[in-house]
Amino acid sequence: MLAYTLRRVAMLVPVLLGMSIIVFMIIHAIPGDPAVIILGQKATPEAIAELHASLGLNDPWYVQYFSYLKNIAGGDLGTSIQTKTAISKEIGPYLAATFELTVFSMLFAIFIGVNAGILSAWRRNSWFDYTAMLIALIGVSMPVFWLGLMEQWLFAQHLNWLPSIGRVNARDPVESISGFYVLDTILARRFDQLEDVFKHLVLPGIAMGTVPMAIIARITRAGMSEAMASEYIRTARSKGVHEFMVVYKHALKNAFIPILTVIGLQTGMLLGGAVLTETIFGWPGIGRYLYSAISARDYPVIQSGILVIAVIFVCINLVVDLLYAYFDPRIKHR
Amino acid sequence: MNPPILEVSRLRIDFSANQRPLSVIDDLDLTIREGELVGIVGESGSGKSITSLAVMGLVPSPPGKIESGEIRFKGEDLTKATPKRMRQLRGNEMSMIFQEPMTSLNPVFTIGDQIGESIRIHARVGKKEAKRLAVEALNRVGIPRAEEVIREYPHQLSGGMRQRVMIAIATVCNPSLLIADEPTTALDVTIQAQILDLLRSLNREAGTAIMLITHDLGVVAELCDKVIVMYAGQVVEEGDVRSILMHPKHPYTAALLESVPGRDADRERLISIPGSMPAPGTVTQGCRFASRCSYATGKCRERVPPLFEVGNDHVSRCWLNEAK
Amino acid sequence: MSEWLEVNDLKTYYPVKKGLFGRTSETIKAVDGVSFAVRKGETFGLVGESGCGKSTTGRSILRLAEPTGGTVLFEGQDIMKLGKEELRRQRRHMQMVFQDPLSSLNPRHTVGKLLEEPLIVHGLGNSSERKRSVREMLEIVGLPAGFASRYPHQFSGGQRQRIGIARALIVRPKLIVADEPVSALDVSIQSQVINLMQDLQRDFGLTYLFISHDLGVVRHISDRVGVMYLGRLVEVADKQDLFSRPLHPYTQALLSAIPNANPDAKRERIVLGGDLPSAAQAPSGCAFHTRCPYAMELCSKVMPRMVERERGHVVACHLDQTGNEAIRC
Repeated sequence: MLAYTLRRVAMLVPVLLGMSIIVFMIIHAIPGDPAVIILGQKATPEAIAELHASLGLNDPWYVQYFSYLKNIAGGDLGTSIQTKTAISKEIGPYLAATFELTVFSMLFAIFIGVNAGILSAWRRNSWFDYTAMLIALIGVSMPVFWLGLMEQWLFAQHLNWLPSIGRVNARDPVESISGFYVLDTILARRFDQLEDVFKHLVLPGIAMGTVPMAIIARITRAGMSEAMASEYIRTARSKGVHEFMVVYKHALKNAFIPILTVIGLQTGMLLGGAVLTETIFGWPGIGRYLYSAISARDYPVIQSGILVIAVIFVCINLVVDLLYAYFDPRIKHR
Repeated sequence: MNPPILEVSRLRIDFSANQRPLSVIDDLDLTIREGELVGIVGESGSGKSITSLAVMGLVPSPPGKIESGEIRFKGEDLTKATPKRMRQLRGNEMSMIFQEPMTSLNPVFTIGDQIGESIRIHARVGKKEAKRLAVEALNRVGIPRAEEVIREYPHQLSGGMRQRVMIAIATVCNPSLLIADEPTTALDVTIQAQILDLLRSLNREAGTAIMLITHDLGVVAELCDKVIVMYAGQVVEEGDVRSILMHPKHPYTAALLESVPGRDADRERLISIPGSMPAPGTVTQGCRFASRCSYATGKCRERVPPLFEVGNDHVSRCWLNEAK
Repeated sequence: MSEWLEVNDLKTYYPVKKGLFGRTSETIKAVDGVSFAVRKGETFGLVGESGCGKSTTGRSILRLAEPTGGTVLFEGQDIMKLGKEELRRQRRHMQMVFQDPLSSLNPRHTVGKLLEEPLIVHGLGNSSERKRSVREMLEIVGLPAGFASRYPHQFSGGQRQRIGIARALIVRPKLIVADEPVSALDVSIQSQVINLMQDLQRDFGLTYLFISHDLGVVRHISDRVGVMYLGRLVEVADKQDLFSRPLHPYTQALLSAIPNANPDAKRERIVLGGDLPSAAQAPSGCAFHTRCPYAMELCSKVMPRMVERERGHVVACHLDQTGNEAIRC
C-alpha cells in the first residue's frame, strides 16, 4: 500500500509542474503587453515600466517562470489588481464557501444516488427501477439554473419554507473562524444559527447535487446489476449471509470503483465553482470570485484561481486513486 | 444403512420464459444418506445444477419456481422453510462449492474475512476466535502458511488453492451435507486429483455426505458410492457406482460412457449421440431421450417411461427394462 | 519429406512491468525453447496444464503471437522470415480453430458472411463461387446450407464449433492448429465434433496440431503427442508409447491423475504436491524438479536436454541418462 501511495504521489510532480507552466503561460500567451492589459490602454509609460519591473517582465521567460514557481511554492499567489490585497489572503473564504456547498451537494447526491441505484439493480425491471431511472434521466438532462430557479420559486417564494439567497441570514452573520459555517457555528455553540446555515444549504445543495446524483444512480445500477449476477454473490448466499449484507457488503464493494470515479469527477467539477448555481443563489464561492475577476480582467486572480482549482482537482484524483486500492485490492498488486 | 439426510420427492421446478412456465425439473426423487458420496451426472441442461440450487434454497426467483414436491433435509421440508431458517441452514448444516474457484470468491475481501464471515454468521464467537478457526480450517484443507493466507486476497492464490479455500469456507461449520457443483471442472488434472483426495478424506474423517454434481464419469468413478444420471430434467438411471458404470441399463447412460474419448485407445471412431438435449418444454410426450435413442420405438415416443427396478437399488427410466 | 512442419527452439517471451514506477520488468517465458516436428497428414497432440505454454506455442507457429526466437519450417519455408504480405498469403495454408471460434467474430454478421470473409481476404473465387463454397462447406461440417443466413448467437456450442471448423476449412488449408476445440462442449456433443474432425482429416488430407488439456481427447485423436510443462516440452512420443510407457515423471503423474470411469481399473495414483510454479519465475534446471518425486540435486542445477531414449520417444529428464530405474516403477 505504501509503495502504491508513493507511486501515486510521485506521479503528481510532473502533473503539477505541467499545470504551473500552462497557468504561467496564460499571462504570456495573451497578445500584447501584459502590463498594458493589466493597467489598461490609457496607462502612462512610467506606470507600465514600473509594472514591468515589479512583475519581472524584463527578465528572460525562464527566470520569470522560476521566480513564479518560487512564489507559489512559498504560498504567494500574487496580488489582486481590483482589491490590491494578496490573493492568498482573500481566496480562502470563497474556497470555504464552495467547499461547504460541494460537500453538502455530494453527500446528498451520493446518499440518494447510490441507494436508488442499488434498489434499482436489486429489483430490476420493477416499477421502482423504471421510475428511478426515468427521474435519473431527467436529472442528467435538466439545466441546473432552471432547476435552481424552480426551487426558489416553489420553496422560497411560494411555500416560503427555505431561504433562497446567501449562506446565512444577513442580519445575523456568522463569526468566521474556519470559513466553514457549519463548523464555525458548532464551535461558537450557536445551534440556532447552525439550523439557519443548513437551511441555506438545502436549495443550492440540491440544485448542484441533482446532476451528480442522477449520474451516480445510473452508474450504481449498472455496476450493481453486474455485481449481483456474479458467482461470489451466490457463494455469499450459500454461506447464509443476510440479503442486506449480500447487497451492501459483498456486491457494493465490488461495484464501487466506477461509482467512485464518478464521485471524484463530479466533486472536482463542483469544487471548480459552479458559476451559475452560485450566482442564482448568491453564494459567495470561488466560481463567483473568478467570474468577477474575469469581468474586471484581474489576471493575477484568474491565474491563481485556475491554479488553485487545478490543484484541488489533482488532489481529488489522488484521493480517488488511493480509495481505488481500498475498494479493489487487485489494483495495488498490479 | 444410514438414515437419510436429504430426501427429495416428486420435485418439479418451472422456469418462466415469456410468461410461459417451462418445466426444468420434472418429478425428481433422490435420497442421500448420512455420510454417503452421491454423484449426480448429466450434461448441460440436464437440470443437475438447478437441483442443487433448489436444495440450498437458491433457485433464482423469478424466473424459477418450485412448483410442487418436497425437499426434506433431516426431516424438515425446505420448500416450506422461511428465508431466515434457510439462512441458518446454509453454510452451517449444508453448504456448497462451485465450479469456478476464480469467480466464486469475492475478489475484494481477504480470505480470512471470507472464512470468518461464515463462522460469525453461524456461531457466537469473537473476532479472535473466528480467526483461529479460519486458520484451522485452512490447515485442514491442506493450505500451507495459513497464517499468511488469511491476510491475502483471492487473486494472490492459484486456482487449486482457491478451490481449497472454498472448501474451507463450506466446511468450517462442519455441515452434514456438502454440495459440490463441478468442483474440479475448471482445474488441471493434477490439481483435480488433489481436490478429489481432499473431498474423499473430508467424507471419511468428518462423515460429511457429499452430493457431487459433474459431467465427468471418471470423477464419479473415483469418488462416489452412488450415481444418479439426469437427462433433460429427469432422473434416467440411479444405482451404485459399479452397476451404473459397468452395466448401464439406460441407453443414454450407455451412450454417454461410450462417447468419452480415450477410454478405448484402439477405437477408431467414437460412439456419439446424434442431436442435442431437448430444450425445456419441447418434449411434451414420451421419453425425453427418444429422439436421440437408437432403440426408440413408437411406445417410447408416446408414453413417459417410469423408473423400472433393474437390480438391487438400481433403477432405469426406459421401456426396454419393462419386461425384466 | 517427412518433417513437414518443423519447430526449432521456439521461444516466445512476454515482458511484465512491475515494481515502483513500473520500471523493473521481468519476463514471462511462455514458450522457452520448444522443438518438435509434425509429419504431413498426422495429428500431433500437444498436452499440458494451464499456463504450460501449449496455446502460445500454437499461436506462435502461425505468428499470431510473435515469437522471440527460433524457427518454424513449414514445407521447407521459414515462417519466421516471412514479410507481412507473404505471411498473410501463407496463412491460407495454416488455419486455426479456437475453443469458441465465433466469440471473436462480429455478432452482427450472418454465418454466411463470416464464412465468406476468409475467401475474400485471400481473393478466392467470385461472389457466386464464394456463396456456393459457403453452402458446400456448411454441408460438409454437417449443417444445413440454410444456416448461412442465421447469426452466431442462434447456435448451440456444438454447432458453433462446426461453423468454426468450416471457417478454417473453407480456404482449403494444409495445416489446422486446433486450440482446445472441444473443451467447452458436453461429452455427447464433443464426440460428434471429434468424429467430424477425423472425417475431415481423411477427406481433405489435413494435418492437425491438436492442443488440449484433456488427455482422453488427445489420446483418441492424436498419432503422436508432446507433453509440455512450464514452457518446455518434456516428452514426445507415439501415442501408444506415451500412454503405455510414459518416461517422464511429469507425464507419469499426469496420466495417473486422469480419473478413470472404470471402477475396476486398479492403479497407483501419483498425486503431485503443490502448484504449477509461475512462468515468470520458472525453477532453475529442470522446471519440474520442485514437484518431481524423483528429483536429484542435479535436476535443480542443469536443464535436461531432449534425448531420444527409444525410437521416436524423446524425453527431457536426467533420470534415464543416469541409469536410474526408479522411473520405471
